[in-house]
Amino acid sequence: MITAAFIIGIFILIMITDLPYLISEKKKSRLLIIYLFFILSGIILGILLDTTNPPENPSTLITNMVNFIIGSN
Amino acid sequence: MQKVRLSGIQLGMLFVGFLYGSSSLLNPAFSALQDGWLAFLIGWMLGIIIIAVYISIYLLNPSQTLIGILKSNFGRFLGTVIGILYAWYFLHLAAIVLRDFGEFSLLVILPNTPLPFIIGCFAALCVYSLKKGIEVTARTGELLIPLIPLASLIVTLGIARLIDFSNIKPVLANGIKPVLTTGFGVLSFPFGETVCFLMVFPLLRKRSTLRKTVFISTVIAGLLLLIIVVRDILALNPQLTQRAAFPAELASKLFPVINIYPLILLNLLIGGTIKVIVCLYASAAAITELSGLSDYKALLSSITGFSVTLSIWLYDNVMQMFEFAVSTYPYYALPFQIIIPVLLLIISIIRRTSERRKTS
Repeated sequence: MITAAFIIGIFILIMITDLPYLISEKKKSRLLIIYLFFILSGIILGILLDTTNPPENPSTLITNMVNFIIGSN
Repeated sequence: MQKVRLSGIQLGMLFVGFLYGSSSLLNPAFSALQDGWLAFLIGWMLGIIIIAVYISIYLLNPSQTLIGILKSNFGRFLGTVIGILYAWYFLHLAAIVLRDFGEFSLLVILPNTPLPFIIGCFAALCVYSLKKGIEVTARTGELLIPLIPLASLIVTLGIARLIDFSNIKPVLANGIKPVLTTGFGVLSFPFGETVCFLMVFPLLRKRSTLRKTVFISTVIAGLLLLIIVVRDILALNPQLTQRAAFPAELASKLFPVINIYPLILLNLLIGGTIKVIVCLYASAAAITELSGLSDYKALLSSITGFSVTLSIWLYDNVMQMFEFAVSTYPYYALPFQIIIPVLLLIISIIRRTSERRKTS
């Protein structure tokens, strides 16, 4: 669980240090939506990466897509 | 957004650091074996052409970032969609460089340290620098980038006694195809990646110096990389260069008496940090402009945090990292680096011509 704990720790630290920026922004709701999207996806991904069956990595997905488009094996 | 202005030298230093970045470690032309120098030369020349395209796009759409240019040329909806794809590409590029740095540190200097910790510390440094503003990074670059050629020269001169010119022969033994394929790879990594600078160009104080600054920086960075490519081929031999995970680190081990790999790490720390910072800035600025927010700094930490997680998720192991860089990345980056910018240039020229006709 080292990776998940480390990543969650990083994101908690990020949220604390970003508080002044969040307060000073005029379009708060818009900022919060985008902000929470990155924070939550990062935390969920961090937890998933530490499971016994982690999700397929993006490089494999991109390689499959590229091979499909250029017709290579 | 706060008005930030960069001088020509500062932009040039950022450009050299960006191009040098992780390319100094990974040797972008290794797959062409003894013809690596030729492949690099081809990639470098094509790189200068594609960078000239980026400059022309900016000069035809002055004071606009890539997102603004996309919206004004492709329309609001299509421009926003392509802008989101570019924001993803810049974020992905930052994650790729973070992982390169992490893998190098893990393999060479910190074998028992967890990868997330190495990448996290590196990313924290980048966020700290960017929160102070990109002009702070540029000023730091002015001080530190001149150290890069010095470090490379020390390593190259130190192993000069091992140089064997027969390693470069036979020329084109496998035909021209592998050389052209590798040249295409060199174009996409590192030269095509400078598309990120379309988000940085509007920060330049004097627009008239842009063409000269960027051209000189590309020539300097290209020359430095060419020296590294040729050194690796001549001193290590092409087969060893191809098999080595990090040829520059291997070359540094051949240095007599003392261990000078910290100099290689110095290159990566300076160049790699600047590359990650520019990519993160481009991504944060793109998302900020797309969403109509006022300051990119509000999103910076969350984007970097996501980029750290993404960099850990990117590959299962170091071999997949090299396989992706050689076989997939040039095709994946093709639309972002060549197809869309060339389309943008054509549309910008057509628009400019029709506007001139209307005014005359």
